[in-house]
Amino acid sequence: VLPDALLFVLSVFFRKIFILQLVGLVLTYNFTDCDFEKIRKKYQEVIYQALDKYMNGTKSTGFNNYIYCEDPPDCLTKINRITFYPNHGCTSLAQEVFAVRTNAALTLHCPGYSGMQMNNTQAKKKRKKREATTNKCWEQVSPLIELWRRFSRISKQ
Amino acid sequence: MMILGTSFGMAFYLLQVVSGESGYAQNGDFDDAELDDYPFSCYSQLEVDGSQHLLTCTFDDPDVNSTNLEFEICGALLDVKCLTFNKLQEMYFIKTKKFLLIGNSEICVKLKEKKITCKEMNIVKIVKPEAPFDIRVIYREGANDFLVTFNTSHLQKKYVKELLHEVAYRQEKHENDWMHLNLSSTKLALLQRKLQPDAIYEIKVRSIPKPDYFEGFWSEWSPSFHFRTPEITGRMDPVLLIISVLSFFSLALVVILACALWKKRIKPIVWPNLPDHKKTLEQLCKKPKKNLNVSFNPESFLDCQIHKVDGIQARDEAEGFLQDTSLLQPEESEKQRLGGCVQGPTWPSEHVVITPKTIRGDSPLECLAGNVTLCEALVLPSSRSPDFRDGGKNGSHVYQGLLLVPGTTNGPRPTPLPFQSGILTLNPAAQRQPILTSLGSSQEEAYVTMSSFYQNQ
Repeated sequence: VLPDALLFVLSVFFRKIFILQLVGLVLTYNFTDCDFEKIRKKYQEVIYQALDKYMNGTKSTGFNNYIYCEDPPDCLTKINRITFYPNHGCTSLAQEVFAVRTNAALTLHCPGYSGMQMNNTQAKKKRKKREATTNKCWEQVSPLIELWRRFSRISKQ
Repeated sequence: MMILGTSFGMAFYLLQVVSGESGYAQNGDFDDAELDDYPFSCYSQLEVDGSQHLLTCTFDDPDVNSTNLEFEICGALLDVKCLTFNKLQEMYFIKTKKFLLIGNSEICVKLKEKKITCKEMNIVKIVKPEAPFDIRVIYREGANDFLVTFNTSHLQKKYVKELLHEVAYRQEKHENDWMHLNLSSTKLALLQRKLQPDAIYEIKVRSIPKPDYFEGFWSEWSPSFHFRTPEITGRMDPVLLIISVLSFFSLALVVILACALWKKRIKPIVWPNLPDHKKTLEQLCKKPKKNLNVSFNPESFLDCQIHKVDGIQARDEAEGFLQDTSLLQPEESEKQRLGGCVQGPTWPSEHVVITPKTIRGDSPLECLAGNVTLCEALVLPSSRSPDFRDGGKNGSHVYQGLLLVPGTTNGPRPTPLPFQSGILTLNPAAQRQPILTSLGSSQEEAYVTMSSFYQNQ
């Protein structure tokens, strides 16, 4: 009886994992069809200023965690991941001004991009946590600045 | 009864419907007003107060009764969904940091929580810059122009940094005759020749966002600045006048000097004549010694008689030579000329004596009759010069390499040739005395051959 029960539980568990993986694969957005020029313009005029203000004058080169992106879609994929799926103790980036502007730019100029949907309750909770994790978040944002710069250069070509 | 009730109900209902369509509500307000009855326009000003932005809306029709009307903006906002405007007289405004600056917002006119009219606007496309200020005009005399400068608060802003400016100026007495100039920087040079002299001008400037990401409307005009253009006088700059007069006189002087000195000084340098080789050589030889006269006149050459002699004969002949040279001594010019010609760089201060080797019976002088060749000679060091002076009375004379020997019985006397084995120079003091050889003055005197001379050296 016990092995049967165990087998049952395991099968359900693995099934769920499999389904989630599948869902993740399906739901990963492809940034190939985005209007890179318009996104670049928005970065130059409004997103960069918000990033600079967030870093509060700290130089991005002060942190030794450079991430390279190959082409504009790859850059946007990584920007999207770092901005909206942070880790290692910095989970509040999504509500920052630069993150909201990034979300707006991607929503406007990437067909089918659904963007990040976060309600106000979650935003308030995360704001409290933000103050405690500033240094870790700066570490998270510094490669983001470099990714945006690279995107800005290569999307001009 | 039922029919009556139904009729009244229907009539009442119809009345309600009809009155609703006419737009007349119970409180007297317009409930379903036409959307076009409240046209309005808005403009935004970014970073007017630190990082706060300003959005201002007004009705286009100033006669609209805006007592219960409100403005609301929704969309493209940070952290909130909608914001309500504040009212100041007939103007509605909102001052906030919460503009997203990406995407469109909806601005609606509301009447008691009911939207009357709405417009979709993009905050970054209705930007109205702040008016420029601190306009100044400086006259630059050297450049003959007026430098116009002004300031704008957008130079220090993060957004809307790039603006286009329009400068307008006019002469005060010509009221509507404005001249317009467009520029993207905050400096402008107005040429003096384009303005009337001795006139008062008025100048002002305004700005608009450079059409790129941000767009919008012209700002208000800056406060005007008034300036006066200088008079044009006939006077020339005094420094310029002095320089031009001096230049003229200098030029005249140069021309006069050129004419005067053309033939004598300038032409020989510019177009030199081909030199006569004889005259040139004479000049060259003339220069080093004043007393030295050189002539290539064949008559000035002395005959050099070279004879083969033995020891005794040499002594006799040397004595004879001495007597001859005492006659020749007054003719210093001849000697100097000869000496000057033969003078060379090799031994400048030594006086040398040449003695023929024939004293010993040898006959190195192979100037045989008819054979004009270089004579070999012996050279004695200069230390023996005092002796030579004494002995010179007895010995033969040597003029700067020329061995002057009384004539020989055999054959014609060959002309003396300068020695080429050594270029000799004479001590000026010694030049006045004949250089004597100690021909046979003493058989003990050693003959110095060229080779031993070199060994001694």
